[in-house]
Amino acid sequence: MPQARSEYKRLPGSRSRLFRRDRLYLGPDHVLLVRSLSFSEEYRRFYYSDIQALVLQERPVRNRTIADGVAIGVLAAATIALFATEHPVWGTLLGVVVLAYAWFAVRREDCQAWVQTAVGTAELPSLCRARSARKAIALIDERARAAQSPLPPEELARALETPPPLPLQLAASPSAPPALPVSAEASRRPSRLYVAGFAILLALGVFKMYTALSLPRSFPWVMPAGYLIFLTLTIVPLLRQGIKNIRGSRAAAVLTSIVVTGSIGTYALSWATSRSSRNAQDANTRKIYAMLEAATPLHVGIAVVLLLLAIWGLLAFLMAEEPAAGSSGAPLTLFGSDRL
Amino acid sequence: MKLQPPLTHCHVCLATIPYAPGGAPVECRCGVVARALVYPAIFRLRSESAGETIQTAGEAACFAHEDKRAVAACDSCGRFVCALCRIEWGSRVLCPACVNAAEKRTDLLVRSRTMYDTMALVTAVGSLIIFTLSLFAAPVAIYLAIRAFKAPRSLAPRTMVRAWFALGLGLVEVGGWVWLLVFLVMKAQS
Repeated sequence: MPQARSEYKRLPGSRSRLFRRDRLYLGPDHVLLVRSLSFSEEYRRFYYSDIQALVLQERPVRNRTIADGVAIGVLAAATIALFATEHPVWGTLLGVVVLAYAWFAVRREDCQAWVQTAVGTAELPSLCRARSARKAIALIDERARAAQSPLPPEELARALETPPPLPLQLAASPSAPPALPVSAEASRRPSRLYVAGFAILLALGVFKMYTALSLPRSFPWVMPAGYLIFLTLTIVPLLRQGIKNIRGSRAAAVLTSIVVTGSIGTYALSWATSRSSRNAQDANTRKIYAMLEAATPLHVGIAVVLLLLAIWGLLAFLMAEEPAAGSSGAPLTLFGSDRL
Repeated sequence: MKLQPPLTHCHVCLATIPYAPGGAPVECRCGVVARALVYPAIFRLRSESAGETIQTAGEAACFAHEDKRAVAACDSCGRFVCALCRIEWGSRVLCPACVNAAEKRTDLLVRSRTMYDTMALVTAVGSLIIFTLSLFAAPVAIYLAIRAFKAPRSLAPRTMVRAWFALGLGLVEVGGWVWLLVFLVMKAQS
């Protein structure tokens, strides 16, 4: 089917997550937010004439996330461990990766942007880096001003005077409208089995790091058993509650961990079984197994992967999540405080 | 009308941010620098007309008639509409503004689209991991690639490289299977 050239122009900024990417486009009379999922795209439009406010909050460089610090710390510890066990080549390679990551983390300026319309407020996820967000907001600002007749600056300033209280405080106000009913699905919390699973994964990572740095390696069945317990603890609640109950970073952490531990676990199981029946193997096979067993960088690498996955999962499940509209008991004000 | 949460609070420490007019930067106590650009639409008044009035304070109001009881939400833009403004468009409920806009450009009502070119590419490339799968996956990839050419495309600028590549790869895989079949038949005959 012949199609006309797209009328949209891409704005700077993009945010990619596992199986999801958000981008913004400038249209003739609206901003288009495109959310690309695996095999589909979802669209949301913000008309220039409807935009009431654009807000940009930039996080200073010193205010880094805990996740960056933890990731750099674990990788740096792994680098030191590799040097300590006389693997300078692998240690140097990992060291370069750590330095590159640290340089990127220090230079990166995070931010968050929102748009307010008469319908409500919405985050613009693609505007998560300050430089690109400033450029994008300048372009939207130009068109929004052109689409709306100007008002005196005093009136515009009046909209910024006294911000309304936080949603939780708002709920206590007697004049506030009643909260929208919370659906049973939204009120369900993710199972604690996920947290238990990631705690076990953390213990497995520590154990793997310990055994990686100590020869000869012992307890061959601990790792396969640990993988099996972790997979059980994450797959059971996933099947019972569904993926919809753990959206965003939680879902990404759970799915990535299941795939990675499933893959590593399969090899660990076959490794443990073959090790127990090693007497039945020929000399060459025994030689290969001995070489793999002595490959400290491989075992350290697996330990680092397990530790990163465990920390990611624990942070995703233990850190406070932003309350979703209607799920925190707060009233959903669609038309602003003038109706309160 | 004023700024609404969560725009009014710092996204790191949740402190209230006193924004400055004109988009001037304001620093929160945690170091976050915030700017707010406010537009005249924030003071836009909604028109009044006859209709079913709101009886109690807790009822939702129509977007265009703030004293009228809302009976539905527009499936395209999310605005609440009263019985006067409610327009049934097939199985969907729309507001007059969305219908007006849709008269000029039908793609304004599109909320999502399936990306057949990505499906075709994943099918074609994925079957290479286990080659025997390509016996079934290659024709599927060719079908999906052809469908990608016919189906409505993404609203955002997007090339058809994925579909062309998937089509080519699918044809190569099918060709490979045909060649293998001919080779085996000729070998059996000789």
